[in-house]
Amino acid sequence: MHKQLELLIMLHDLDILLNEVNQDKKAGFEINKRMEDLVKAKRKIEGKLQPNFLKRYQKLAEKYARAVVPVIDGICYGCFVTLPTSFVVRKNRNEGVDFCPYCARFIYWFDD
Amino acid sequence: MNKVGELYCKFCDSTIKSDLRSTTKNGVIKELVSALSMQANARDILIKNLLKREGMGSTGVGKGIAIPHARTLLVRDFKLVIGLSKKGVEFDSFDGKPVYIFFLLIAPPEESSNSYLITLGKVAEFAKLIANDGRLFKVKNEREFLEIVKEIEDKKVKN
Repeated sequence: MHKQLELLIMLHDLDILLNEVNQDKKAGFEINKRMEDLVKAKRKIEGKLQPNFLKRYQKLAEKYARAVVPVIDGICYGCFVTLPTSFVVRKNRNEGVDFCPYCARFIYWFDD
Repeated sequence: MNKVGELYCKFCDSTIKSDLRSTTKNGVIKELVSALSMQANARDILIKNLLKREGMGSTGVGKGIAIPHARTLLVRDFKLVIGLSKKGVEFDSFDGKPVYIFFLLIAPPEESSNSYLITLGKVAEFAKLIANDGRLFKVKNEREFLEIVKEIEDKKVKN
């Protein structure tokens, strides 16, 4: 997997974690660290991302709930449109950073 | 109230590791995640994510039970892995006691069935019953584990 794609997924998962900490508290789990620690971890990942990818991620995150989405059976799970055949037949999936040609979200491929 | 055998059915569909060998938090999380079929680098990302969550506060709910959980882009659907440790694992539980039973819950960011939150709540509730019952801490294999889960669940429904 491309290193930048790995970082984008980590950033995405961390954003979910940040959103769900409060839900965990309500469910009765103990949260004894400050949120700042997670924000620091997020900044660290952001620092390793290429500036153009980071800018795109932030723009997408403002617009959509998810900036990185999976592709399952050739369908982008952000906009639910079937990707062009040229995308689907591509080898070395996840070995580069790809975007959905319709919604522009970052895409991550699951093995079929 | 739980439907008859609701968790039992979920546990039957999950992976049960009845011989966890790790005795550390990092080790046991790696061992539980290794039960999921995914690419090695995806597995590493998930482990880091789970450890970050643990860093915010342990998911050890006390009385020998822990429920590590996370949402990630790296799984297609809801996954549940149950781990049983004979030696016990230091998991920074709030009561300071080692953990013997683990329920690892992993889900994608969005799922139509919402299994993740529903199961998380049910497992947390069930953990109290397990702790009071005590028999699940001594099981030898997966079959015995499931039989006792069924008994505990049936008993709860009858009451």
